[in-house]
Parts: sequence; C-alpha cells; structure tokens
Amino acid sequence: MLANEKIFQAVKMFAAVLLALVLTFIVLLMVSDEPLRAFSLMLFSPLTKFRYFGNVIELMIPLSFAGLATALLFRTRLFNLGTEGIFYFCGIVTAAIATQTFSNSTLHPIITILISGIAGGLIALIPGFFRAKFKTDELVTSLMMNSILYGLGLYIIKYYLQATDVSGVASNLFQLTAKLPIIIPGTRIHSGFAVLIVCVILLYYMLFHTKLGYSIRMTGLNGDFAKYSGMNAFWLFLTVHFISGFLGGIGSSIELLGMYNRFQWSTLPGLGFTGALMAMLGKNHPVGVVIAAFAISYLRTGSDIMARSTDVPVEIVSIVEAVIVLFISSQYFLRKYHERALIKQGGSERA
Amino acid sequence: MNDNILELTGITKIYSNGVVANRNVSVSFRKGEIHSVVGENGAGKSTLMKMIFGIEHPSVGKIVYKGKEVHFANSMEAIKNGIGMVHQHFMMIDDFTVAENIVLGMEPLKNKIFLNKKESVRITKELAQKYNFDMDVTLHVGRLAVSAKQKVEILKTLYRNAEVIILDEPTAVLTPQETEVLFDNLKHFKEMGHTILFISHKLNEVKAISDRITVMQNGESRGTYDNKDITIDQMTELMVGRKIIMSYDQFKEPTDKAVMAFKVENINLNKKGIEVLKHVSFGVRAGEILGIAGVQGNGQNELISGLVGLSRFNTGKWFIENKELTSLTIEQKRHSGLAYIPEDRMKDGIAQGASVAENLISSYYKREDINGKIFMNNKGINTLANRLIEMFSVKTKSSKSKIESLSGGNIQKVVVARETNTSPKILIAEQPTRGIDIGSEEFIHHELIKMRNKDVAILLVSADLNEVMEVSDRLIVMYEGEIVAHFDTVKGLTDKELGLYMLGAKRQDEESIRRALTC
Repeated sequence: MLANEKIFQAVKMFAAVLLALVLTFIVLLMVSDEPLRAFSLMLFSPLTKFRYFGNVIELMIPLSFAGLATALLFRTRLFNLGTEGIFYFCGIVTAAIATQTFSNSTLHPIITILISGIAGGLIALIPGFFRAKFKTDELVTSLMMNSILYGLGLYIIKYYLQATDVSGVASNLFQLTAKLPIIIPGTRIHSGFAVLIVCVILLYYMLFHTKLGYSIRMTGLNGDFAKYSGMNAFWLFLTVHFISGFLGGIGSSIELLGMYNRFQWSTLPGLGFTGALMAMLGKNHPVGVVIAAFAISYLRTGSDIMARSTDVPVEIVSIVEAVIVLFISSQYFLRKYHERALIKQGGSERA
Repeated sequence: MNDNILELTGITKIYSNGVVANRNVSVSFRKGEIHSVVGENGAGKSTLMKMIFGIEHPSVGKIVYKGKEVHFANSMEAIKNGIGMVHQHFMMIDDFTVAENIVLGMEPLKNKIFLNKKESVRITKELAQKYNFDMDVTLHVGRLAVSAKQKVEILKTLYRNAEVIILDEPTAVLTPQETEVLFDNLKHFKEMGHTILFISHKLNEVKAISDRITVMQNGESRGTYDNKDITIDQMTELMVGRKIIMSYDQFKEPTDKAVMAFKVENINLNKKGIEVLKHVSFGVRAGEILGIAGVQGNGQNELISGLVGLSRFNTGKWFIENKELTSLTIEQKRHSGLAYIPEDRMKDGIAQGASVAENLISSYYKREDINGKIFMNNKGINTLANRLIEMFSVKTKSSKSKIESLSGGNIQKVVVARETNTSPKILIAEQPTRGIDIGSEEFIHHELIKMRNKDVAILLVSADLNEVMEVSDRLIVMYEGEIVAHFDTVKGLTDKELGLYMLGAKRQDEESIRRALTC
C-alpha cells in the first residue's frame, strides 16, 4: 500500500503530524497542570467559534503570500530567503501611500498594493541580477539584503513617516480609503483573501500551463538540461525574482491594509522566513503552499487560544512545527517501510 | 571441500524509487579464478558488485564470504576483509603522487604520528614490482594516462591486501593494446592466488580472459558457465535472446551528399596552459555520418560542448550550410538546425522529476503546434508525445510517467526521439548508446541511419570503436586534441589499426588530415 509514491508522501505527512502531536503532548504532560485541556484547546479551539476560525484565515493570508513568493524561487532552485526583507520594506512603501489622502476608496488600496508589488519586484531583482549575471550565491545576497532593507526602512520610517500621535516605530494611521473591506462579517477576513485565491490560480496556471512555467520547472529540476535545451537562464532568473518580489510586496501590502491601522513593525516581521517553511511543507506547489499555510495558521491560532486560557506558553507551537519540518524534510523517515512495500509488490513497471 | 571464496544466495535489490536492480541472483565465486559477469548495461552487474563491496545492501538474500555470512555496512569493512574494487570512474586525488594515492588512509607512520613518505614510496615500489607493474610512483596522478591511473587503482586494492578484486568495466577506457596489457596483469594476479571479478559487456574480452562466466539479464542471473562450455553467440543469446547485426551497410541508402551541411574551421582551445584542442577542422555533408573516434579525454568532450554552445573556444568558426553559428546563443543555434544528443543523458539530456512528455518537448517547447496564445497546448503536447513514444517504441506506462521510472535505454530513446524531431540539418550524437541495452542501441543506430538517409548530416562521437565503425560513413580520429587521421570510408579498417592512431603511435600526413574539411 505504501508502494505508490503519492500515497507514501501522504502517509509520511500524516505520520509526521501525528508524531509531532504525540511529542507535544508529552511536553505538555511535563509542563502543564492541565495537559488534556491544553491539548484539546490547541487542537480544536479554532473550530469552536466562527471568529476563531476567521483568525485562522486571517493569519493564513500573509503566510500564503510569503509562501508563494518563496516557493516560486525554490521551484527554480533559487535558494533566496529575501522575502523577509521585501515584506518589511514593502510595508513601508504601503505606509507611504496609504497615509496619503485619496478620494477613491476602490482605487486607493489597489494602487497601494500594486506599487508595493512593483517595489518588491524591483528589490528582488537586485539579488536576481547578481545571481543571473555573476552567479553570486543568492542565499548570501538575499540575507544581506534583508539587513540592508531593514536598516533603510527604519531610516525612512524615522525620518519621513514617523507618526505624529504616538511614539515608537510607527507611521501615521492609514487613510480609511486605503483599508481593505471585510468580506465575511463576524470575522476580520478581508478582500485580500480573494486576491490570494486569484494569485494561487494564476500562479498555478503560469507554472503548469505556460512556456514560462515550463522553463521555470525544467530549470528547477535540472539547470544543465534547461541550458542544453536553449533556455535563457539570465532572463528567467530575473523574471522569477521579479514575480516573487511582486508576490511578497502585495502580500505585505495586503496584510497591512487588511489587518493593521498603521505600520508598526519595529523589527523584521518574520513572515518571509515562515514563507520558506510554507514552501517546503507545500512542496513548492501553489496549492500545497496554501494548504500548508492553513495548517500552520490553524496550529498557531489554536496555541494562541490555548495560551490565553491555560498555563502553557504559546511557544509550544514551535515544537510542533519543528518536529513536522524535521520529519517531512527527512529523506530517510519511513523509507524502510516504503522499500519493504516495494519488495512485496515486486517493484514497479521497470523489472 | 568448498573452494568458493564468495557465495551470493537469492540476492534481490530494489531501490527506493521502485527500480529492481537484481532479482533472486545466486552466484558463487571460486578462489583463484577469473570470473566474468556479463550482461547488457542495466542488467544489474554493477549493483551486484556494489553489494559485494558494501556500497549497496541487498534487500533480500545473503552474502557468504570465506564460509561466513557477512553484512558489510560500507566499503571500508569490505576492504578490511580483503575485497577490493576498481570503479569505472577513478577515485583518486590528482594532486597527490601515485605513492600517496596508494597508501591514502593507511599511510605508514613515523613514530606513530608523522607520515613516512620514504616508506610509502618504498612500499609502493615493491608492490608495483611484485605485480609486474612498471611505473614511477613519485609522479602526480593527474599527469598520468588513463591506463596508468587504472593501474594505480589496482595497486590501491592490492596494497589493502585484496584477495578478491572487482573490476567494473575496466576496459571501457582502454585501447585494444592497453587491454592486452591489463589482461596479462590479471592473469598474473590469478597465478598469485587472487580472485578476479571482471565486469564487462564486451564478450570477446570476456571470452579471452575468463575461467568462468556468469551471464546477467534484466537483473537476473542466466547461469554460470565454464568458459569452454559457452560461445560468444550463446552468451549473446542469453543476454538479449537474439543475435546482433554487426553491419548497417545494407540499411544505408545512397545520398548525393551535395551540400556541406556543417563546417568547422580551425578550433583552438587552451585551458590553463594546456592545449585541449589544436587546429580542429572538419566538415560533414548532408546525408552522411562522420564518426569521431578516440580514447576518451582527447578533446572530444570539449569540442562538442563548444560546438553546441555550452562552453567557449579560444578561436574557431563553425557553420550550418553558410550560416555562421560561432557567436549565436544555444537557442539560436538550435533554431539554425542544430540538434544534440548529449553524452551524459541524466545530466544534460533529461530533467528527472518531469514527465516523459515534458522531456519530449524541451528542445522546441516554444513551437507553435504545442502552444496556444497564452497557455501551452496540452492536447498538442500529448498527441506529439504519444506519437513519439509509439514511433520510438519507448517502454513507458504513459506519457505522464516520470522519466526516471524508465530504463536507461528508454530514457535515451526519449532523448533521441526529441532531438530527431527538431528536423535538424546537423545532428550531433555524443556517445548515443553508452550504457544502454543492445536492443535500444540497435534501435538508435537505425534511427541515426534513417536520419542520414533523409539527408541530415550526422556527427557521431563515440569511444566505442565498434559503434563508430559500424555506423559511420567517414571517420576521423582524435588524439590529444588534434585530428590525427581521416578515413574516407570505414571499409577495410581494423580496430588494431585505429588503435594505433588513437594511442598516438601513428599519424597521417597533413594532406590527408586536411581532407576531413574539404572532402
């Protein structure tokens, strides 16, 4: 039964989650006075109230955007972790536009989001260009870019966008015209969710049904093969970086316009790095990324609620996430069973 | 009573991707014999040997060595127990001397701490003399010829007191003359009590050297025979179930060869001060197959990789008909009518993880018949893929199967199908049948000849002498980056004679060589 690769992957995923939960429960037994209640709150509380479930979707939106941006890079086998810096910096771009007065409340968010996206794309082109032209390691440049963007962003906030009504790192309040409307009453789920769905569909079709997507996938699977086939890695790397940066930029903008009243990230928000986690768990597939983002959001929301009403700190969720990542990324986990199943079945088509 | 040094019983090996490399194989090896394991590439010989050597582990079955069941966790344990292996690809450090390479990991020490270089040299010299190897152990390995490197590899196993020596396709990189020397050495080892496991798919060599022969087919053993009890024809039949056609002449239709389809002028390449290619010029006419023969590593790789645009030359121009290709991108070269079957199909020829269909369209994925305005035309792709799969009888479950689920021969058919489907003017085929089964090999040869009959120019590079001689119309020989011989026809040529050119022992005059271009 484990012989089929897809089924095997699903079983592996399920086993990883199960093991992670068992381990979490053991930890809860050690640290909590009411482990059972904490555990069930963590697992089931998001389902108990409509508002809680809304929290899951709200959190899932930025995680998905970060995940999509990173997954596209990973697909092309570009190990770029720059989404973090782009998320932060495009938040500042968003703040700069969203605090301006504008008459039209339909156009205001659209323009803000688009400009943030383009800014994100242009920023991503920097490590993209160095990678394409000089074969500079994009991991190094993108991580350096994160620090640079953070420093630059902080400067801009402090000197140009600093709030007049509050102290600390913050911009002025966004204009009400710029805010994204809530689309599901009783929650804070905003129209950014619809944008996300559209982006996933577009990205899916782009990846699996266009020439660009084909060359992205072939380059990611085997760069030598892509070169041999006549594909132009230079333009491809630039294009992919731009699209990825664009996704990061609009994701950041949507998060701010949907969930915040002003820009107030005093440190890197961490969403970009979580995006790498989404990409990995979702196997760099657009739909997979969204599912992974949902699962992680669900866990995080659950632990949040648990932390509020029990003696267990919210950080417990990191244990679950870490264990899941470890098992899923492990090549050897369950491999023995897989092989044994193959032997029983007598091998696949190639005898 | 039992003189078997090594016994394999019921060995089955399944890789985690579901590929069955060996199925229920039982073989025993006697002490002091030369035992050949033959089979087509992909028949599971190498995997079997890797299991003996501890690199791979059997899924089922047991290995008994010197009367005891063994489970080598890795090759270190196999080596400790007296099993040595010489791999197809040498595992040595080029910047070390011969002596240093031989003692690597088991160096004689001074005061138990410091390396004793003098002692290393003395020991390795002695070792070389004892086994009739004539070599200077103080030379750096990187400067040695391939055959000498192989000797170093063999000495390495002997230094580690190998009683059983596994040689995986040792003759693939050797000229006929060098092969003879190797065989003399092997016979000498046998007299000294070593057991030799000789892996090959060249039957005449197997016949010449073995005491006993085990034939493998499709991961299974087809039996072990005394050399005298089996003929080459019988071996072939066991391996493939039919006889091989040795000449393709009857399939070649007359072509007028009027057009000079592909012309290469004065290619030079200098890498780190070494002249890799020197004044290489030749031409291929539409409707003929020009073979390039030569021992591997004499500049063929660099020549082809530069011509197709994967790397650069220092000087030189090349043309398709009258269009200069020299500074075009790979995509433009392909547009101009260049197709290329690469030597390393897993590295350049396919993308693992992609489907058979996706691998069948890469060279022309922008073409109109498989693209709509925005989206690729999946229907068109599938129709095309299925047509190619049928035309080339690629054995696959469907066009959507992952390419790596296919056997080596079928993967190569995918590459050949794709490249011939680009309607090229010049097809460069680099080792097009290396490492695949004889059935696919024959099929691919026929395809090449079909292309030739349709007035395509074909440049065939191969280290397999039989291949270039069977398929080519004309032939050039490369040695140390130069064309050293040109033959208008392959008729009447012997592999002995070619071997002399390939080794650099003989060289034609400039006039004859120049005819490679003007012919």
